[in-house]
Amino acid sequence: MNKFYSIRKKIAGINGIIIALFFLILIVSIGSSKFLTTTNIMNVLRQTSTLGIMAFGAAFVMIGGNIDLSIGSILSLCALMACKLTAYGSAVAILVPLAVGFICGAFNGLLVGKFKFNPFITTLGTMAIFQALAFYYSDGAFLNASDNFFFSQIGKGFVYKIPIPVIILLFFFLVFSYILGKTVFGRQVFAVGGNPECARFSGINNTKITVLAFGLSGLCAALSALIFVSRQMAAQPQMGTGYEFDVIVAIVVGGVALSGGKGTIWGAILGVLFIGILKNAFILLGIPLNYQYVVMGVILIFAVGIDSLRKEVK
Amino acid sequence: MNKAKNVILRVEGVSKTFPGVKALSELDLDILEGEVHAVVGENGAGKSTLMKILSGVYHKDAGRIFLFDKEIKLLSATDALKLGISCIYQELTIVPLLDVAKNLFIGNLPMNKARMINTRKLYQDAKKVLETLKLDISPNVLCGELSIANQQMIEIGRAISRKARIIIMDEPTSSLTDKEKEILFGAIRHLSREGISIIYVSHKLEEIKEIADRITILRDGFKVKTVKNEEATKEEIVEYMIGRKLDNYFIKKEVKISDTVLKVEGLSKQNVFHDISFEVRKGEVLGLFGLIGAGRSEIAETIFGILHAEKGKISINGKNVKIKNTADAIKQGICLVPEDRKLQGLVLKLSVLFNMSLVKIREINRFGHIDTRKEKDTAERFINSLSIKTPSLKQTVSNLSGGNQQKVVIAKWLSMEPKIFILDEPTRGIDVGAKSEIYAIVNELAQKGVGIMLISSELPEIMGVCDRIITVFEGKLTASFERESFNSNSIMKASLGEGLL
Repeated sequence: MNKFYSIRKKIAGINGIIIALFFLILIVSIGSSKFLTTTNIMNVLRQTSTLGIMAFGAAFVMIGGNIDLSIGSILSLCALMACKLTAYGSAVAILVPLAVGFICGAFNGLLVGKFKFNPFITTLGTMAIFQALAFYYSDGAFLNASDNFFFSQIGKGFVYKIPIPVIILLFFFLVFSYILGKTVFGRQVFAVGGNPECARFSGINNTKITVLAFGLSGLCAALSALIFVSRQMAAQPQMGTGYEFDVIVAIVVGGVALSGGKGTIWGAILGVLFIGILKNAFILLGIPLNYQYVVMGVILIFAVGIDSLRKEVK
Repeated sequence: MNKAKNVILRVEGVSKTFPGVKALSELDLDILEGEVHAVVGENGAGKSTLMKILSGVYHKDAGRIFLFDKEIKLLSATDALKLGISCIYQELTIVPLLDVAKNLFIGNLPMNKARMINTRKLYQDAKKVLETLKLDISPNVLCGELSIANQQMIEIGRAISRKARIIIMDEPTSSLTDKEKEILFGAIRHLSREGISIIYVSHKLEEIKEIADRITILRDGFKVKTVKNEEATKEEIVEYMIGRKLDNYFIKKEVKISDTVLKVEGLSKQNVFHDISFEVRKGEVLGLFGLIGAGRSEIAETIFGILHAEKGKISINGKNVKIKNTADAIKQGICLVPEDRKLQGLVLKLSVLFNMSLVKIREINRFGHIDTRKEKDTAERFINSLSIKTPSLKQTVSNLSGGNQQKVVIAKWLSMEPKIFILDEPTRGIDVGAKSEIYAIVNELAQKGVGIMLISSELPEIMGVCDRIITVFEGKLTASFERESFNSNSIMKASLGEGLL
């Protein structure tokens, strides 16, 4: 009896997203015969890899009790940089954008963590600022990357028929699951998001944790930018626009609490898969773009609604 | 108090079951008109369930409730209010940005024909209510500007404005100073003379003995008995509550007190405390006694690195230390069990294990990697040694009772092997059994040579547990007492700033 109860409770945490994912897959595979083919599955996975990596970073921010709206702009900025820097070799084209992404994120973190600015408004502001920087950097133009075999493999390559972006996603899934679940930093993120006052009374430097969480989020956005650029070998200043929306929908659907202190990387990736499959379904089933946004919006509100309902019940 | 006659409220065989727990079992209770009826019991005894059934928040599973011999159905809080049963919860529900009059009549504002607020009537009625309560405040003042005690009076005023016949109060003195408590008690006595019955739910036996006409003791969902106040001593009530005899409520073991471990010299913070100097020795339990707001918690928080003093020195084992933040304090072996366990002590929505190892993980990691086996072992050891009652380590800590929650906070710090252990109101809102367990932990720490500082506003507790007591009044130390010369009168006086030594 007791055991049954505890198992049920365990499932209750993420069962919503698993059931939703199951039904989505069921419906789409009935609706389109192309859905369950290896090519399509690999395609979905490759397309979700960029969203997935960003979602991991955003999950750290949200579990830490904040929200990051600027990741789409950071993605654009870093993608343009990577494009231009391919002229100086792969190492530069990879490392510089990663550093810039981290710094942009850490800047958000500093404003929110140290100066206690409201995270929503702060990152709404930096979203505009980073976007403007991206325009400035590229003069508002489309940039092409220089030919560079190593760099282009990040987005286009395969290892045993598995796209490299999928391998990167898997790798970071493991890394971030480990960081969130089994390291001191991960625990402290939960503590700061769950109850900042208690965290402070337990010897945790809240500012540092917040800066690092935002920094990680920026770093993840830069990583996604690299995959993007490598796949298309081109970038434009608005390529990241709207990404923050998809990412936030994905992690909220995946059970990361908007109020902080709750969530898993496992849930985040399930949420990402859900959004990825949904977008794939829109294309396979030929659903117009307008409806896509409606569906996404409804899902976001629904997921948040369930989150607050759960709290009510408690 | 007046001679009460009529039974106003009768509860017959009321039961309530939650999944897995029988919270109330066939409870019988009668409340007389104009009596102050105290309901006591340990946490989980069923006090709050009873309260919530009477105020319409919970629905009973079985039994009947009569008001003036007429059976009533309480399906919602509104039903209860309409029937004249008002409830004042521990957490106040004052709206700080509304004035006194609007707070008094909130949800019940007098309207004119156009469905607009009838302002003139509102303020007239508010004045009447304030007069009934003998409260000397203007109905135009914002409630946020009132003291906690006065805010509580406004809650009572709200009940009066709704023509309540029965007022249920849950731990009404938990955030009041002694002086404020007297004002509250004055109001309660006054209401009782007016024929309003009070159901007074509390842990604090001193208060109950002071104010109650009759006392009902609950244990594990059953009523143990209802006694007249004069018919039972405090010790007897405690016995009924816990079902066994507590011979030695405050255990104090002889401990060899040795060198000074913590020395504070001339600590000052503007408008908070001035020129605080004292020392704590190994194995010593030093009590810090004073009213809430006297600066006790602030002194502790300064030593722990939460607040920062402008002047003064802190030394540990004879070495001068600089404590910039809590991490520094922890490195020096200082621990603080904070005043507000829910806000400062615990991450309520996370597990027992998470909370217990929040500090310890700094030790059991290599390059940030947490040894989860070691983590669990440590936690389990403390679950056993402190007898923390939880179904599992994964249980969300907010589901634990107050006493067990506090033990989780203590366990978090014990795993650090502290040198200086500061406890700020460690037994507030927890039951008698858990209290004596916490005193036992304090004793054990003292025996191990830890220097202990205990902050409390309960005089019997601080006198029972401490070797030495210093009193704080308005941010200044006023007196120091050795255990041999403990005297409740002079300690109380010193804490009120009278007869400074």
